[in-house]
This record gives sequence, structure tokens and C-alpha cells, in this order.
Amino acid sequence: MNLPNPVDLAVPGFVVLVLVEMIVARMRDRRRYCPKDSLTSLALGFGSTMAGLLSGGLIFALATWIYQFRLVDMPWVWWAFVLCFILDDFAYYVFHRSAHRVRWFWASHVIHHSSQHYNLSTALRQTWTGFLSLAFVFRLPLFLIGFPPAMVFFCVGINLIYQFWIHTETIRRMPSWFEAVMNTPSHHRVHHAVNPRYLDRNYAGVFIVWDRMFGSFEPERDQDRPRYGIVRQLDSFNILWAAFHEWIGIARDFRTAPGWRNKLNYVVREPGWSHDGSRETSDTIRAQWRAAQGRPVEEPLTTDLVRSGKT
Amino acid sequence: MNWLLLAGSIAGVLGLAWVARMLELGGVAIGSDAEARRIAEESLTGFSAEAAVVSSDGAAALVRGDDGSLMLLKVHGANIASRRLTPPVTAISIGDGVTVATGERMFGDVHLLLSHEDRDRLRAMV
Repeated sequence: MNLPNPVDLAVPGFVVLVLVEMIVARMRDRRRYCPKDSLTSLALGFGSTMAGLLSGGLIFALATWIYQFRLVDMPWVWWAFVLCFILDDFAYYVFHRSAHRVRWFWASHVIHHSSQHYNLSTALRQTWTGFLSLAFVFRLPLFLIGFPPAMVFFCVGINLIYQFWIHTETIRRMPSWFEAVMNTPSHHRVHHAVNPRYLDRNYAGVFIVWDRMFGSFEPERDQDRPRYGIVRQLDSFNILWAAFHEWIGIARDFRTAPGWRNKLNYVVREPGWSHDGSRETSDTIRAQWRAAQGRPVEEPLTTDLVRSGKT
Repeated sequence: MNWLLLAGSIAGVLGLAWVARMLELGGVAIGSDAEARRIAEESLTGFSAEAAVVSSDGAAALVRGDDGSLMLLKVHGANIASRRLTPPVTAISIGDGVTVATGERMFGDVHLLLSHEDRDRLRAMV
């Protein structure tokens, strides 16, 4: 079956929505957008599309090869699309969580978090090196189950389109039933924030239920306004630096680390890990913050919301 | 992707950036010592700011923590980027202010426009 690429069809909508958000920013808060930052994000998005064209054929060929070993034949019916979409979103959750916890994957994903802004142009700031970091591996089980590659890639496109609109500060909260099930601007602001409370939380793509199920959910709080970017802000609009700085960091650390075990850890451990403990990971930052707040290290962050009756 | 889509994408990228510029979006400055201290504390968990010197154009600030450590703030687009400075910190009086070296090529050296009084305050901090 020939399916259209939903992302290609959505591009005009992306452009219109970015324009609308810029006008809203002009009226409410001009600091929500920065021309240089937006140009960087859009250029990185364009570069990502080019990189995708180069690697897309290889990934599709691999998917087709794996599909021949499928366990079952998923039919081209509506419920198979729904099932495929849900399972693909779960695969995205696993990928995304790994992308924040393993430096090799993070080296690709960091590009998406490198802006200190949070607007619709940030959504388009996408990786150039996803193929190198093996991001596609997380979706391979879908082909092995028996979902046709065209169906999976169609669902991937829909998933990507959904994630576009949640990159905004213009929408504060959606209805509570929607916030309970779906990923929303509020949930995803938390994900992009560097506040210690919010670090490495809310990995969901479309359904926030994965975070609720696997203990990585954190609600946004009005009294702790998200600050965006990465722990060590990039401070650069250089698109090459944004695309490759973490890879360069890995190469430097690999070259200078004492012993093979440390060299390997600089590749596979969480971002910020160092052999001498001289750097900070999201876990150490959070622990330090909790200590300053007088909280037990393992106490769930949402506890005080429950105590105060806000959930 | 065909050539039309490619050209359209490039035009879209440049067009949106142009619109953002025409709408005069962006713009931020560090307004006061207190604001500089707050930003520094937010930027680095555990950092407790004690004193700050802000560039007269609001584009940069140097903040000292209660443990004597230093944080350098710099306007980046419509936001503030920060770095904790590793001693010994180099600060050189140049023209109408002081240039503080970060030792990082991408972050660069940061020039603060300062009055003579603020220059003395900054030297005392370093």
C-alpha cells in the first residue's frame, strides 16, 4: 500500500502555526522568540531533513529485511493502524528515555534541547546524527512483530506531527482529562526544562501514560517556571556546533580518559558522568537540590503536591 | 524530496527568520544586581550568590558566590547563558570596562561596560 508522508503534508501547517505563535509573542512577550535562535532551529530542522534523506533508504531497507522474519501478518485494517501507533509511541518512549540516559544516544538528541527557548520553532530543531546513534533500532521490534514498514513509518510521521504543537508556551493547560492521557505543552515544557525538579522527566511522545506507568512523570508547577535548554547552555547559534558538540565531547573524553573501562563509560553512561566525579549528572543535580530543600533523596517529587491537595 | 520542496523549505526557513526580525522579537538585558544574583542561583544548583556587578548595557554580569566562586552571565539571544569560572580568573581593564576570560573558545571572553566604581568592585570580587 502506498501511503503519503504525513510530515510533508503538514509542513505548510507548521509554517502557519509558527507565524501565528510569533504574532502572539509580539503581543504578549517578545522574549519568547529570538530571530537568531529561530533561524538556528529552522536551519537545524532543514539539515535534519537532508540527513534523513541520506539514511532513510537504508533504514527502510533494514526494516523490510527484518519484516521477512515477522511473527504474524498484520492486516491493512484500521485497528492495526491504531495498534501500530500505540506500540510505536511506546517504542518512542523507550528510545527517548535512552536518549537522555545514554550519552551515545544523547549526543544525537541534545540538538533538540540545545535552545534556551521553547516555541514551535524549537520543535523543528532535530538531530542530524540519528542514524549514527542507532535511534532506528528501537522501532525494529515492530517489524519483527509483523507491522508492514509503510504502516510503521506512516505512524512515525503522525507521531512527529503530534509532537510539533506541544512545543509552545502559548497554551497553558489542556482539559484535565486530556492532560491525564496525552502529552501536552505543559508536560513537554517540563521535559525541556533544566530546573532540577524537572530534569529527565516526561519522555512521552503522544501518550503521557507511559511516564505515569514507568515512574518518570513530573507535573509542571506554576511556582517553578521551567527554564529551558541544557544544563551547560550552548551559548552559540553555530549550527555545526549545535549538531556535533556532544560527539566532539565524547571523542575528547574517550581520548583522554584513563583505562578502557572509563573510555567505555564516557560513551555509554549518562550525560555528565565523569570518571573522577568532577561533572554533574541530572541525578547528582537533583540530589543536591533535594538536599538543599531538606528532602529525602528518594522521596517522590510529587509527594508535596499530594500533601497539599493539588493532585 | 523534489527540488521544489527543497527550495520551498529554504525559503520557509529564511522567511520565518525574517518575520521574527521584522516583528522585533527577542531582546533581554540583566536589569540589576539582584536579577543577576537570581539568574546565577537558578543556573547552578547549590550556588548561593553574594554579590554581583552588572555591565551598564545589561549584556553581562559577574556574580560571586558565598563560597568565593564566580559565575559569569552573558546575554545570548533573548536569554542568559552562564558559566562557572575556574580560578585563577583573568579580568583585564580594557577601554570602558573589564574583559573577563572564560577559557572556553565557544563561550568566548566577555566584556562588561563598567564605571570606575564598578571596576573596583569587580576587581575586589576576582
